[in-house]
Parts: sequence; C-alpha cells; structure tokens
Amino acid sequence: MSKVFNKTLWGLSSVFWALFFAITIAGGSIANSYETQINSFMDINPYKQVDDSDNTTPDVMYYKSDYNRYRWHKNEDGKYEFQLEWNVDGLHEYAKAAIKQVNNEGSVILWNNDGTLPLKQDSNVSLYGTSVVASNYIVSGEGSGAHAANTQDTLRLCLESNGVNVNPTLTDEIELKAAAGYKSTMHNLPGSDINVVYFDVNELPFDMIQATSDSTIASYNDTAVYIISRNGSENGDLFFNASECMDGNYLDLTNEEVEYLTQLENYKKQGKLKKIVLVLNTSNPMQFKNLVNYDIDACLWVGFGGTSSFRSLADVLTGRADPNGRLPNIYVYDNYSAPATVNQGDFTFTEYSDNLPKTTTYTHNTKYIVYQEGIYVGYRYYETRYEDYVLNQGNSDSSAGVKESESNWRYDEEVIFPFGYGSSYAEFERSNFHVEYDMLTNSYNCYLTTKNVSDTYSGKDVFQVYLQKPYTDYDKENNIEKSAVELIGFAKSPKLAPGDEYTFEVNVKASDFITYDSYNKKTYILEKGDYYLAYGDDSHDALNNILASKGADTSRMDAPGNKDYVYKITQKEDDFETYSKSLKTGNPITNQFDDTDINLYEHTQDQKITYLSRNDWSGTYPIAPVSMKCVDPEMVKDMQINTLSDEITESDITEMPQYNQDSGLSLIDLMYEDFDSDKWDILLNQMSQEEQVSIVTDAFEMIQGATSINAPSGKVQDGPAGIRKSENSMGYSCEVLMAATFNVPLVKKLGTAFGMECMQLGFGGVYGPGANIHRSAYSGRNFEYFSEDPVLSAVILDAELDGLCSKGVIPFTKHFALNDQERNRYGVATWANEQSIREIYLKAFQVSTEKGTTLGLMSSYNRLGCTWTGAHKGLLTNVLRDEWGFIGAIETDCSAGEHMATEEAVANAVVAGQDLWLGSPVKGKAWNYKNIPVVAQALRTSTKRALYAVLHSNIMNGMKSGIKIVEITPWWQTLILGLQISSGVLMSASIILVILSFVLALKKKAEVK
Amino acid sequence: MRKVPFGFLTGLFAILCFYLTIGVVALYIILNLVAAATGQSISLFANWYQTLLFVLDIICLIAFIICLVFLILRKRKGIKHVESVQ
Repeated sequence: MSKVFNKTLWGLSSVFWALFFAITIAGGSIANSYETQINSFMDINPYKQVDDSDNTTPDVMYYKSDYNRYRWHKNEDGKYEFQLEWNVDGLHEYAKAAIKQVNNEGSVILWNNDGTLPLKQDSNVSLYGTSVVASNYIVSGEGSGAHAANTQDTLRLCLESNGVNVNPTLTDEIELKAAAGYKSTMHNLPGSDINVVYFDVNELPFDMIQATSDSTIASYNDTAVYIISRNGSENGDLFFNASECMDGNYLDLTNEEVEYLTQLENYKKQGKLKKIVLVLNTSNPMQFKNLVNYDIDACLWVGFGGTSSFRSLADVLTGRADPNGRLPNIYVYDNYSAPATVNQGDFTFTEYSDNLPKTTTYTHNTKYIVYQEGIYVGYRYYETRYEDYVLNQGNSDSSAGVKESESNWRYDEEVIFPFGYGSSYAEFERSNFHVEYDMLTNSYNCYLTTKNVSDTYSGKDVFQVYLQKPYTDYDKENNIEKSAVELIGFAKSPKLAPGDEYTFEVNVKASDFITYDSYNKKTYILEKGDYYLAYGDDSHDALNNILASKGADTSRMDAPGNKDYVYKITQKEDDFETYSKSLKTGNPITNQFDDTDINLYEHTQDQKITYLSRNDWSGTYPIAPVSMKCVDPEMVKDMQINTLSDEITESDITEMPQYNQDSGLSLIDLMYEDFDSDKWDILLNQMSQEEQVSIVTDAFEMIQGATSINAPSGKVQDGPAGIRKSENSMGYSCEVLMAATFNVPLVKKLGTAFGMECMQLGFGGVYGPGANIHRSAYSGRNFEYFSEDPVLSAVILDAELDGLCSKGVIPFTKHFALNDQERNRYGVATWANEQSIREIYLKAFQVSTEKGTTLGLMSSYNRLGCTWTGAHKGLLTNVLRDEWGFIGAIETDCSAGEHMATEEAVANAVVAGQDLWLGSPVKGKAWNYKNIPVVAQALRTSTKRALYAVLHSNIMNGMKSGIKIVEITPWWQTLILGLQISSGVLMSASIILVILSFVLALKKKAEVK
Repeated sequence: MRKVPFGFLTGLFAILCFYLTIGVVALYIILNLVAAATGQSISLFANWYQTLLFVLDIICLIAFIICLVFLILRKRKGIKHVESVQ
C-alpha cells in the first residue's frame, strides 16, 4: 500500500501533469488564434462541401482546363460517380513549352560579333563558371518569389542534344570542384537585422580548374561559353558592400570573374581559343564599365528561366530558338549614374520624437525614403537629359551626375544599351511607318512594315512606339516634368522566315497623351503643343528620330535619326477639363497624395526639397540623400499605429449592418448578378458578424468560407514564379524575362499555363504577379517585377493576368504601392510627388484594374508619407475604386508588422478600403472596434468584395445550388482537446493520490507515536 | 546528515528536461514557420532565448543523469546493506 501511495511519485506526477495541462490550455489557445496558418501549413481545409445529390452528373466547372476531364468511375464503396482527373504530365509539358518560349523570346543579344552565335553544329565548346552546374545556375530569385524549378536538365546534355560537342573533362572538373561550396549564397549578418540579406557570388576560382582547362582547351576551342550569375531576394537589396566584387558593387565583376575573362582572353591571344561568349544569368542589370574591357565576342542576357532554363539556353545558343528579346531596362556603364540611386538605401530620420511608435523587427517607424528623382526613373532620365543636351537647354551639359563621362555628361559615355535594345539572329528591314487617326475611337493606329532580309534565320521583330509630349512654359511654371520619350505601345511579329514581310499595327489612345499636374490644376491635363509618335529600335533610336524630325543640331546627336519614322500631332488648345474626370467611372480626379509629397504635406513645410527637373539638371541633380526629421507633433501623430483615424472618430454613420437574416440564398445564386445588384445586400444580411470578421481579418493563405451562405473557402499561395510550396509544380520565367519578350499573346499563354496549374493544385488565388517598378538596378526583388517602364509593366502584367484569370485564379498583384526597395519596407515612410506616383508607380496596376481583368491586389508594407498603404484611403478607395472602378478585393502583405496589425490599425484600414489580411491580427481578441457602425459597415463592404472575387474564381468549381458548406474541426484541434481532457484527468488523479499519500503518511506516523 | 532526495530530484530534472526539449523544438518550428512566410529560415541558435533554452535543457539532462546515477547507487548500497544484515 505504501508503495502505491508514494508521496514523491504522485507529487512529481502532479507537477508533470499540471504543467502538461497548463501547456495544452495555453498552447491550445495560441494555436487556435493561428488556426488559419496551421491549417494552411498542414493543407487542411476546414470547410467541407456536403452534396446530397446522387453524383450522377459531373460537377459544374465554371473554369475549365484542357488537361482535365470527368471520368465515370466506381469508388471504394462500389458506387459509380464522376471524378475529376488531371493529365498532369500533359499540363506540365504545356507549361514547360510556354516557359521555354518565353525564355527564348525574352533572351537579349547584347552583342554578337562576326556571327559568333549561334554555335555551329558539331562545334567544340568549353563551358566555364560554377553556374554551369545545374544546382548553381540561378533559375529563380529567393524569398516568397522563389521556386526550385524542379528541372533535371543539365546544360551539357541540352547542348549535346542540339549537336554541339561539350568539353566533358572540363565540365566534370567544374562539377567536382564546385561541389565544395562554390555557388551563389545568401546570408544575414550575425546579430543584425534579420530582414537584411546579403549575397555572395562565390565563383569557382579559375586556378582550381586551370590545369584541366589548359590541357583540354585545344580540343574544344571553337567557343568558350562563360556564365555569370547574380541573385536577388525578398529582404535582399543589392546595394550592400560586396567585397569580392570590383568597387564593392555586386552588379560588377568579381575578382574571380575577372580572372576567368583574363584567362580566356589569353587563350585567344595564344591562338588556343577562337571565340568567347558571355551569358548573363541575372535579373538586375549588370554595370558594364569593367566588363567592356575584355575581348568578348558575344554577350547574351538570359534572366532567370525557371524550369526550362537550360533547355532554352541551349536552344538559344545553338540557334534552335531565336533570341529576339528587348531590354526592359536601360543598361549603363555605372549603375550609380541613375539619380534614383542617390536616394536608395537605409535612411533614419535625423531627428525624431520619442513618441514615435517603438521600432520592432517588422515595423520600422524611424525610417524614410524620398523619391527625389521624380519621374526620371531609368531611361527617362538618360534620354531626357540627352535631348536637352542636343537642344542645348536645361543645363544638361554639366558635370552633375557624371559617372563615366570624361568631363561633362554625355549620353554615350554613360549608357551602353538603351531601353528596348535587342536584336535577333535574323535581320530585318523596316519601312512604311505611318499613322492614321481614328476619329471614332479618338486614337491613332501606328503601322510599320518589317521584312526578314536574312538568308538563313527565321525570327521575330518588335515594333516599339514612343511618345514625346511637349515640355512647355506651363510645365516649368508648375513643376511638371516631361520625359523626352516614353514607350506608349508595342507589338511583336509572328515568326518570319527569310523573305517574309509583316505589317505591324499598334493602337495609341489620345488619352495616353495626358500628364498629371500635381501643383496647379491637380488633375490630368492635355496641354497644347506638338506631340510626336515615333518608331525606334529602342528608346534612344526613337528619340534621335524625333530630334531629326524637329530639325535638331545633328552635330550634337550621336546618330542622325530618321524623320520618316516620326508622326507629329499638334494639340491646338490646352484641355484641362476632359481628363479631370475618370474615363472609366466619371468620378472627378484630383490630388490624393498631398500627404506623400514633402512639399505639399502640411507638416513637412519646413523640409521642402527640390525635385530633379529638366529645367535645370545641374541645379537640381541630387548630390546627397534627402535628410528628414520627424519631430512635428502632428507628423508624429500621423505616424501612430494605436490611434483610431478621424474617418472613424468623426464618422456620422450610426446604423449597424443587419446580420443573421436567413433568406435561403447561397453565394452560388449570385453567379450572374452584377456587383451592384440588390441581391448582394440580402446575401450579406444572412451572414453573422463573426463570419464577416473572419473573412476579412483571417485570410492567411486562404479566403475563409461562410456556412450561412454556403460560400466555399479557397486556398491562396505564393508566388510570381510558380506555386512555391508544391513539390512538383513548375518554375515560371522571371517577370523581367516576360517583359523582355515584348510579346503579349505569349505572356498570356504563360499566364494560362500558370492558371491551369493553380487549378490542378487546388489554388484559387496566387500572391503575384509583382508590379512594382525597377526604380534602381539594386532592388532585391526586381526579378519579381517587370521593368523600369510603367507601360511595358502594365501591358505585360495585363497579359499575364488575362491568362491567370481565364482559369479562375484570383491574382493578388503586388505590392500596391511604392514598395520599390526591400530595405526597411516594413513601415518605411515613402515620399514622392503625385505626378511620379500616378505616371510611374501606379500605372502598372492601373491598366488591368480599369480593364476589369483582375479582382485581386495586394497592398504593401510601406507607408505613403506617414500612412501605411493599407490604411491610405486616397490610394485604396479614391484612386483604386472611385477612379479606376476596381470591384475586387485587396489583401495585405503578410501581416507581420505591428503597423498593420494593431486593433486600431485594422479598424482604420478596413474603413480606408483594405479588404483582407494575410494573417490573423485580431483573432482571439475582443476587437470591440467591429461594433463601431462605420467599421462594421466597412467590414461588410470588404466581405462583399472578397465574396465577389471568390464567386468569379475557380473556387466555385463544383458548386451548385443544393450543396451545403459545413465547417469541420481539424484533427489537430481535436487532438489538443483530447490532450487537455486527458491531462486534466491525470493531473486531478495525481493530486488526489498525492493528498491521499500525505494523509496516509500522517496517519501512519500518528499510529507509530 | 540529511539524505539528499535523489529520487525526487531525478524526477524533477526529468520533468524539466522533458518540457525544455519540447520548448526548444516548438520554438524552432514556430520561428521557422514565421520566417518561411518571407522565404527565410533560421537556425536552432538564431536568438538568445533559443540558446538559453537549449543550455538549460542540457543542464537539466546532465543533472537528471547524475541524480539517476546516485539514486541507483544508493539503491544498490541499500540492497547490499540489507543482504549483509541478513
């Protein structure tokens, strides 16, 4: 008996089970507040469809794929039913083919001397560089836009299958030696911000393979192909000090790469090697000031090609595919010659109040960034300054901004390859450029005929149309900037065999000629003056054509230009009215971002800046980053994250929405109803408040269902390069490659393949594509965004969305807006003027939103001025909805930051127009703000937008009237409950036994006495 | 001299070791899930509190082993004493 009633044993047992019980109670509570995240991690859908029908008809498929079908099939219970089957292999082959085609057509020949490329059949080739190894070649960037790409190809096998002999000994040696860790890596610095990532190139030292190279080069000496790679990542901007690279610049050669090029040059000089080909496996533009010093016969840019990287690289190198891409960014000798680079990086307010919210890992409340360059991003800067140099105006001929020019700024000494540059193995002759005005549509149809004049190669040509708007006295008086040239339209020909001709047609709307006047009219205007539509092989060629047409001094031009490729349109009068209202919605357009412009925000009036202006390049070129303070009490108040906005505190809305009014409707019943139909109110009234709060504030990788209206839930996943967390999914070409194709139908085909794969894997939404702008060459996520040009970004984005949405995917295009660098993105105060915001940074999102292509968007982490984008009413409601007519849902970025996740921040944001949270910021909390009428009404509106997006997505596939949605308890919640009960029982039993043990021991002691 | 309660200490350190191990593993999993949202990953010793938990875990494990050894030795000593008395 005394052995059973052992005090020590039951005492320890009590402690053990008491701790276990406490942990399961606390852990269960915490786990339940992260229920959605845990369900997503375990791939559990807590909403189940209950179909009481006999399943003798196939489910309704609102979105179809060519790679699935219904099969009449006997199930385990012996009953016959329709089951959906996927031809996954066929789908993957389709996707791979689309990816390969994008890679081929996006690859850009930078130079190709004496027909070095394509490699001839049976030529003998030596491959160099650690990136020759399949696992070291970069197929995708890192972070949430990463993708493993799952390719089994090797470059050697792909080239050999194309009839090229590859130096086997050297390739084997590289693979062997590179395995010792010579590959691109990324890391954090110990003890420092975990949200800052650094990269190492880690090229395999040449001396480790020199002996093999020396002994084998003679047998494989037709061409040396050297691949260099550069990475990019979420949290990983590239403007860190890269000690292995020249000038510490990650986008320049490393010392090892210099060694490779030097050695290969030596082989050439010694007659041991005939040609050198350099392949740039990069998404960010390399700078060329050192690269051009080497005797490289051909240089090819290939981006990150996803699953089909090596296959397409081999095809392009051997001529099986024609690389007819055009650069989506300008390439320069020194990337720091771009004015945007002066204000890129890590900036802390030089003075700030102690009352600012506390900075944490995911909220940077003392950081800022200023877009002082205005609209002069990328080629817009270089081309505009060039025109002003030719026309001898604007103090352009000065040393301001000089990096490589010998004395004063010269275009051809700063720029190596203009925006839009590229060619093809084929050669083309263009002619018959002309423009016809279409009065009916108030637009201009631009035509150009192209002919393939090469003897051997078929290829595709690109027609680029550029626009020049007049830079007037009105502009100078009102601080309006005009780029000398901007891409306004483009098209790509079909494949043309030698001798074939094709006539392009590109339509340009007259409404594309408008400009935003931030300081005077505060709306879009169309000024009087001469407008030019011009064809050019690239942006610089088009500008030279315009200058020729204007009769500019050719002695100051670097090429004579051709005025036959220019069409002049004269606008006789200023028009400040027509475009002051949205052409889409009819709502008035006026300034929405005064709080984002340092010069207009009332609490930074003592910190005004001078934006870069073509009126005076020399006087306005940024010479140092902008300094800012945050001490003004009102500015500090605007930065707070724990106060309710005036929209809420001063709202006169007093009526709460109706809830739980059952009228028997299901979501499916509204399939063919307009967004403004009254039936939506009836449906929303059926829901409970808890359901609406859940849908809006608990959307981590899932849009919640709602049992009261039989709304199914839908899974959403990263990212732009493909479905990230799926083992066998395809890795898609990086967005820079997509943009470089200049091929709208092709990108739509890629989007369609991606959309079908989302369907097959069960995803109704994707966090992508990315549509921010390549503000500088150094943003870590440029691989996830298209271009420095807003029109190219907008049109290619629209094409990809068209494809994705055709398969019922909700694309949460990101990041809306002005999240153009990674450093400090969590809450950084971003400052820019309204003209650049609208014309450069929002443009990419505007086109597909106004067209109605998409029903999803994602807001960004950063602030506009002092206000987080997700809580900026001017952005999310006034521009996005009132001007652009967007009726879909906008989701936050992953709500890790406190500035997006406090109870007040959530209330403020939902009232401002934010619809979904990628996280669960208020789950498990009382969140009493939901009972404020204006907040409750906003929740209802956001729920409607989310449901509308779901209704028009493949999430509804299989839904029909009569199917019920029920909520089930995930197994892990049942397990936790079981553990809580059993540990509680065991704890109680242990406590009883320990008490009994003590009582018995005392009794025994008393008896002994 | 008061006997050191090796039995009680063995049990106590076993309990502490058990829960600290769960803590180390759970923290590692949770922090990695959070980092994975932005495509990152972290190590077992990325933060000071992870390292602290791990060190405490090791200390408790060592203490448990020591106490268990002493407990077994005492039991054996007790059995030998009984046998010799018998």
